Amino acid sequence: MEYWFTYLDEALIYSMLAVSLNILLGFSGISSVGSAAFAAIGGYTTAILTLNAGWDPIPALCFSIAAGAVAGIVVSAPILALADEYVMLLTMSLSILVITITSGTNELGGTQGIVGLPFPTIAGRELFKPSDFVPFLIGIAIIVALICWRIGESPFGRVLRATRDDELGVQSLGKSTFPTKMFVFSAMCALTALAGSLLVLFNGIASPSLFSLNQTLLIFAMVIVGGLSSIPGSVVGAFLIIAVSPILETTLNLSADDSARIRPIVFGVVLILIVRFRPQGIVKERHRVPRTVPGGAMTLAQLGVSDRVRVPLDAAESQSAAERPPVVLQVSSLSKRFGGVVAVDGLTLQLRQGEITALVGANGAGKSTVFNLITGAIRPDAGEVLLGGEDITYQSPPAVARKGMVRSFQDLRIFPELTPLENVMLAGRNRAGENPVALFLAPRSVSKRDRQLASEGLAWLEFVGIEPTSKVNAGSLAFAQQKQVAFARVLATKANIFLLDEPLSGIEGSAVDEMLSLIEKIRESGRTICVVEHSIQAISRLADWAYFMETGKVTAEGTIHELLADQRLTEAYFGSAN
Amino acid sequence: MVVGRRYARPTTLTERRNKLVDLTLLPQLLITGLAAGAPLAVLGLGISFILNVANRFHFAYAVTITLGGFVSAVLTENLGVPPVLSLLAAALVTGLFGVATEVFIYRPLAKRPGNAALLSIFISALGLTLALEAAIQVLFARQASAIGFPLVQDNPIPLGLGLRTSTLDVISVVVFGGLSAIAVIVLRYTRIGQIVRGVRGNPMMARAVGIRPDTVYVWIFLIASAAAGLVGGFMAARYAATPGMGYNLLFSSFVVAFLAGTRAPALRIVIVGLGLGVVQVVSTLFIPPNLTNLVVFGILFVYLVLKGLGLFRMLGAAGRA
Repeated sequence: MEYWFTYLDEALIYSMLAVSLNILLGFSGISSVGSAAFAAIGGYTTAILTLNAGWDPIPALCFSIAAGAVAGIVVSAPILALADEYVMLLTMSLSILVITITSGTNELGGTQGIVGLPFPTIAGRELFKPSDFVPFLIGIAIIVALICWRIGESPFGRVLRATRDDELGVQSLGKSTFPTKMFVFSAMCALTALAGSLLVLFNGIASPSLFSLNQTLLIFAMVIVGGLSSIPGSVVGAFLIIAVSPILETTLNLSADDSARIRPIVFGVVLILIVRFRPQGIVKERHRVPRTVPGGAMTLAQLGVSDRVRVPLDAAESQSAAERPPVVLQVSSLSKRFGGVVAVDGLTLQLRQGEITALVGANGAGKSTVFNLITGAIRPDAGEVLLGGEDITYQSPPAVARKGMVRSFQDLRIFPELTPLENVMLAGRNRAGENPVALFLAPRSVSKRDRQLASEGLAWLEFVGIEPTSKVNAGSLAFAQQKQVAFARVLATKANIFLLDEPLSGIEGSAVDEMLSLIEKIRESGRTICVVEHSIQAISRLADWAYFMETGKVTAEGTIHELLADQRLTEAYFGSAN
Repeated sequence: MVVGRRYARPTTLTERRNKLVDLTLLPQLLITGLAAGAPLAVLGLGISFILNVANRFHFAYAVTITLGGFVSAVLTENLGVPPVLSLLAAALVTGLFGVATEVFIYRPLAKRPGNAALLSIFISALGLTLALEAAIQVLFARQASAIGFPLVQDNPIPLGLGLRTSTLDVISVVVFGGLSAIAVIVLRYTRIGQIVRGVRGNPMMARAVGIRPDTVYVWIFLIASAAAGLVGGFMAARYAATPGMGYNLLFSSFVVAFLAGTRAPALRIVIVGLGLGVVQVVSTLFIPPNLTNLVVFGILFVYLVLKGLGLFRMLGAAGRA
């Protein structure tokens, strides 16, 4: 019986490692290959503290968790801003490095490891046999799984999954992604260190072979086989993979040594087959459908949008500059060069409250670059951007969005693996829900706000004409529908200024007309809009004011009718007739 | 591991301190370092083109090296095949292994969108590494965990002025230096180089002018894997074939590829590879030889931190201004 308890204990410890890796790999899209390294940090810390410093195992365990968190912060600070390949490379080299250092340092026991650790004592009872460990490990494994489940299946987890799908998209909604990633990385390193520490206490030894690169691969296999982005999946994966050994030993009558040798062959082949033929793993990714407040969707009035559209003002009425509404965004002498190419050259423009302003110009005139510059996605070389009088020139995209200026993207940047509702809900702020501490301490206010956001989200989806309760992922919708989701997401930020990058490209027929009247309804609510659009017809209908851009400069401004009357401009835009 | 650590291995702290002062050792370390760097240059070229042209995060390049080491060692040691033939057989086996990996495992996964492709290719590569390494262990390394490969007698060769080299070092420089030179020339001056650059720059465009990127990838895998097999055989001759021998070499070659940059011309990759070899060998003056990885890692870490901070972009901008 003790034989089976040994494997049960191992499975419990590995399930902690797998669950925490899954939060990184599956939920956050952080390709960490460093599980064994962080487990080793925990394990060796425990071994040194108990054996050399004479600590009791349990305080040593707690200290090891802290050590893992600190190591996580130190490592994450420089690497999380880098591309995936670098994250893999650095965390992998960290794994190799830890083995090199531990096996090469006599103080750490060399290749043999640190041996002779004391048995931990829980509630006056010494954990001596594998069966003694079982209740203790089950308790910790449940706590770890619950922590990970709460992190993954909460508004915070939604931000993580969105960041995994499209980081810039998340930033454009006013959420900073770097602190989120850094927190989740160091938190998972802490849990990994905890598991490493338990592994050492359970085995009574801290040796390099416990934390070899092969162990990392093993944990990877558990996550992939169990199912990416599924917490129960990782637990299942861990139990299955650990069970391979005793099953090989008992059914094929192999010796422990032989089964240990054959095991990796089985895992390797299974891993290749799973990735190829069942990439979602055994337990498919499934997330909780957000609940709404009683009554479901909000009304449009509650969203601050009305159903009616005003009769467009007579063109003559908005002609005189004196009568025009106040400026909310002032862009002055903005310039940007990429290498030798001047993309934007001393550009000056104004957006006025409640108006639709159009940026018109041929392809390559620099229109999208203007959006990138004023939202902070690209740093300008010179110039100034004033939002309501405040200088926002060098602020980050999330900061600009939080100040009330939100953009859409030509390439949408929706979160393909999230439902349309989740996409739209991410536009709202849930201060408690996005704060990992409040997530655990103030669960009520987290869920209250989440329901509100869900109700608002449903209303926005209805507003743009998307079936709000659709459970398919946004990425599998038709392009025109994805576009509507992206539009709803922008609106749901409730920003004061919307920058819309080609809202009509890729849609046709009656959808164009619907989109135009939606934009008009938004203007009706008093919001300021700036559109980049190629369709002169659409701009004629929408724009109160238009800027004509050529090679990075504004060369003319006025109502669209005034611009169209200028023969030189129409030639510059459409090309000359002959 | 580091190639050529047999020279100037400091054993005690005082001895190491003495070595610190003893700069006359530097020319010797430079010679040894270049011999150590030549295989890294070849591996760096291989993994760089696999990473940047074929776009495969080919972690199984490590086990390719190991496979090369074991094929050559087992053929000669257990079956009595002449060493040179064993080496060629190793190159052939690893080359075919690389092609099979690309065609049957990576190519179907590469069609997945964006990040999904990167992760699934990486995971498959991990699986392949796990399985093949364990299989090698079960098949060949059951009794002994290391098998030697008697390629040649490794004799010291005096060069005058108190400097020396060895048979294996000469072979390393001639074979891997030669391979690197051929690669540099072919990629720089022939149509093959044009094709490879075209595919790296824009596979779609390359397809439009009649180049098949898939075919180019297969050739890259064939040549890069065969070269890795040769390096594996050579390393087996220098030390011994062991199941984990590929990891550190892969790690170093990744560092070479990343330091050289994603669009690096072949010559720069070769120079970085040789440079890394020299740095590894020179670092044995200051730290225990088994920790040279720390130096490699340190270089990479500092480079990536600076890259993350955007320092290189700033320097580039300053350079233009």
